[in-house]
Amino acid sequence: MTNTLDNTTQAPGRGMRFTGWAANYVDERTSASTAVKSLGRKIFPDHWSFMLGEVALYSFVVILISGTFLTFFYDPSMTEVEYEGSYLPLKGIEMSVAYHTALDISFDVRGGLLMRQVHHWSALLFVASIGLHMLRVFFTGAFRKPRELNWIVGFLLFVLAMALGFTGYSLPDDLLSGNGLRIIDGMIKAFPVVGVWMSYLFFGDEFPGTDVIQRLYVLHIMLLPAILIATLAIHMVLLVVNKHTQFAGPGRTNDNVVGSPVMPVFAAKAGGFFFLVFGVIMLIASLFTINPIWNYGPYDPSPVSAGTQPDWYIGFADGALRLIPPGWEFVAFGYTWPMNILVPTVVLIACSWQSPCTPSSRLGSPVTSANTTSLTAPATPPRGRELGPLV
Amino acid sequence: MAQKPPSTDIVAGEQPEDNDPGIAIVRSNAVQNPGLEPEHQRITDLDPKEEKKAERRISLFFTLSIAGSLIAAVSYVVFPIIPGDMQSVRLNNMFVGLGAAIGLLGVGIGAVNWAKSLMHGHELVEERHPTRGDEETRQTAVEMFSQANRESGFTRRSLVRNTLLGALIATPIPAVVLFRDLAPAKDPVKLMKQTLWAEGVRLAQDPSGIPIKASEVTIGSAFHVVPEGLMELEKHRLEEKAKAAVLLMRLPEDELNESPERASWSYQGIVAYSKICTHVGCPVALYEQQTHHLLCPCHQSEFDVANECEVIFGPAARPLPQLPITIDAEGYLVAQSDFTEPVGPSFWEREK
Repeated sequence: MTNTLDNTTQAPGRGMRFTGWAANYVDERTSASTAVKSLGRKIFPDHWSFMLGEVALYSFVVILISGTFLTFFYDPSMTEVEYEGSYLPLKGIEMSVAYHTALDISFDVRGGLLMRQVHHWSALLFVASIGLHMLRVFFTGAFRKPRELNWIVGFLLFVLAMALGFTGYSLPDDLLSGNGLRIIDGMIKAFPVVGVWMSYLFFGDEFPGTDVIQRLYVLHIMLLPAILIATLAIHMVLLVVNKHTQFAGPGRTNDNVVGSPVMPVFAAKAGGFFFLVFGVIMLIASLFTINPIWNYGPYDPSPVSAGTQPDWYIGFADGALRLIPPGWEFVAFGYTWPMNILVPTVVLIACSWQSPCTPSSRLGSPVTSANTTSLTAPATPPRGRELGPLV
Repeated sequence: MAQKPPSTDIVAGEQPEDNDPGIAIVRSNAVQNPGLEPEHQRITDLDPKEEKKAERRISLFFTLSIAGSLIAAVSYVVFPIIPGDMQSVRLNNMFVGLGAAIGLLGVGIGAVNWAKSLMHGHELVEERHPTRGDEETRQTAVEMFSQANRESGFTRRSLVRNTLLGALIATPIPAVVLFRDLAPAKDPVKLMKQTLWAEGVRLAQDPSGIPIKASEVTIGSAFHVVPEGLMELEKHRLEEKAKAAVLLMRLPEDELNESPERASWSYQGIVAYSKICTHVGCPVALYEQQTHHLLCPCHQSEFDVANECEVIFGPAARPLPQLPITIDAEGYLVAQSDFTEPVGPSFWEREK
């Protein structure tokens, strides 16, 4: 470390002397130079499609930042109060504290609406970019050995993102999200044997109860994000271990990575790109309304607005429920089997398991070529092929 | 750092043996890898004037960014929220947001520009190693495990090991018990089978709570209904409403097809049905007067009011439960009893 730091070609100025001292201080206590040595000039291949995963990562950071702001003003209590905020059409209406504080964030906290919209827009962008990133990985075959596990880890991230989206979407306790919870309640109750009890325990009483928002809040701001961050860390470590795939091109082979080093080019591009993603989200949030909860009113089990539907990324599940023809239910052994809910639920769960497994099991191990002379040890399994170089 | 100068490590024609595992045949006439392209010279590499210009451009973006961040902070004060004035909320949202967006985009555009036009531009090559550890490392790892096994007797002392596994499996048992009090000590199945409706309970309008007289219900009209007294409940108001919500409609009597056992459940063409969808519980809130169909806006289940609310479209499996009604001495509509079956979505113990 001292080598590289002290043998600078310029005459060390005051600033350099301080930097050198600080670097030495840190390294003697953390061995940071080892990490810098192994990662500082790591090569990242450059292709626009690698940006999609980056968009997902950066929008998640934006979600964390804006979400933390929202927690300072939001109260997940379901206690009924009378609305006293500054949005006139709802004055005097009975509503939960959760909905009240969500309205306060929108109308009484300066910049609160902006942060709410940043949070919602970045959540949408998060799920959308994960979807596109997965399509990129799928259609370029980048999930193949040795990256199958990272595909599964990534799939888990996708599911977590949707779970976070749904739990967060329910927190304002407005009419639209309340009907979403009602649907979840109906789906849980359909489960054989345990359904009624699971719903009863989850809602803390009969639906809607007075606990569920608080419980969803704990899931939304602690449990699920903690799991997501841990999973994300694994995703990143595996990415570094396996390195990026690269597209075919002159000079690119199976045994090399061609691109820019982390320091300085990739760091500048990626760091700059974080600000671009954040900036675009901010731009959208300042100009376009998302989820105008004040139009829906507080949750009440009786009214519903026409065209009630979840955020688009839950659409596949909602659509699966709608597809079932009338009458799919039977009674056997004195118990009710609501196949109209069980069939789509089971099919979706089966599909979601199929999805991480299919690519790796079918395409994961490349064809062993008998005439591969470069493999001296016969026991060595064939190495995963990077994206086909120009051979 | 395994870096090599570009275009020296890959010589054209060096890898005819490297067969594509995606295909089983050897391509003898495959296109050879021509090696890295010569470095691309950017205008900033060639012309010091352009380089200077790029420098100025990039620092302009960073300066703009500072201005944007300041605009956001100033807007926070200049565009206050005036209670009741939606326009003030909009302006506050827009100007704080636009300022912050300029602040962020300025940094982003500047940094990317810096990387693209001024930083060392050509590509570098790094060697790629297989992910698996080399033989020696793997051997050492295996040896470590077997040594640990020898020293602990993990496989040899099977009694100790198996009882340990058993004990570990048993440790979460207290956690399972601990979750019972997530909900009060009642039987949810029983709760789901009763609502606030009972003999003589008046049908009241939702949300005003005003009881409805049969004479007010004209042919073709529909009412959102709750049991009288529900709105005054101190506790469990929403829970009771979620079960007791009812739709009241009046049809011409000759259009109403009633089975003999339900003939007494309506009053002069006035019928009351549970508003809670038998699919997953959304309120079936859309009434088509001319066809007398009820539509659930969540999953498009459709019920025919003229035929005891049988399902004519969509994923619902059962008709909406009917509330038997009649009138009391003062002409108000009242329930004859509670629903005769559980309302809302299906559940396991429904028939019990």
